[in-house]
Amino acid sequence: MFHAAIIDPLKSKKKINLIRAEKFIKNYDAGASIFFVGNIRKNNNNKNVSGVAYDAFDRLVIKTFKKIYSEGIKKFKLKKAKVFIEHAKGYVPLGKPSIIIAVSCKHRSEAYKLSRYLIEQIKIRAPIWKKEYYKNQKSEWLKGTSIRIK
Amino acid sequence: MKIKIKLFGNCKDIFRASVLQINFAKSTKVKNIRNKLIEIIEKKYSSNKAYKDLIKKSAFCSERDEIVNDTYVLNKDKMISIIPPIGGG
Repeated sequence: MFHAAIIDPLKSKKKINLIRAEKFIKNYDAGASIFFVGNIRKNNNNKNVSGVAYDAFDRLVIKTFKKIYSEGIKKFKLKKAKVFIEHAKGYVPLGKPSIIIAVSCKHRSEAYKLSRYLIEQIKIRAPIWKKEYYKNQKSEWLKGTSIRIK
Repeated sequence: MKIKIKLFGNCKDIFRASVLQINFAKSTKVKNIRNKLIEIIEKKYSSNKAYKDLIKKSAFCSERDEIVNDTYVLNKDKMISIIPPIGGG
């Protein structure tokens, strides 16, 4: 089972939270649950960060999340895994979560592997962009990874 | 032929829009759209190298939500999205 969403304050009042994630991945066949939460940290490249604004190509993000999930299930030969992924869009202040990935699997080793696989692939494949805002009132788009095909 | 280009991330700031519309005389390839965007940057920002490099590194996504290369042809009024280097999480 799989759930993915972009949480956009312009479209809904919903916020990223672990309660929804925990409910979704609850699974009596699973002996292991892993919750990965990505938060806005206060320092990046020696700059004092006050928040990050995310832009996303929603439709393609969801398609990419699904593809990465399917690949992970196949790669680690999982049968009863449940996966919940939500990513924030818009401004996220310091200390708040930008992404939650929750995974439940039969055993811990596969839960760790799947969770790690999902976040690492999302970082390099999902069309999401970050603009960092700093305490000195400046801001900049982060460089990112090119997905251009030649 | 009118092509709409949906912009994301830094491209929204560079072109100060969410969607650009560019006219081409006939069917065109992604390569020509990329070159046209570089041309706009050259005029608007006196050849800002960082912006031009961003366009060179960007991918393009078709209306079918598939990443396409520079040889992809748009042959009637269509929308295409430019995907600058990504970095979520």
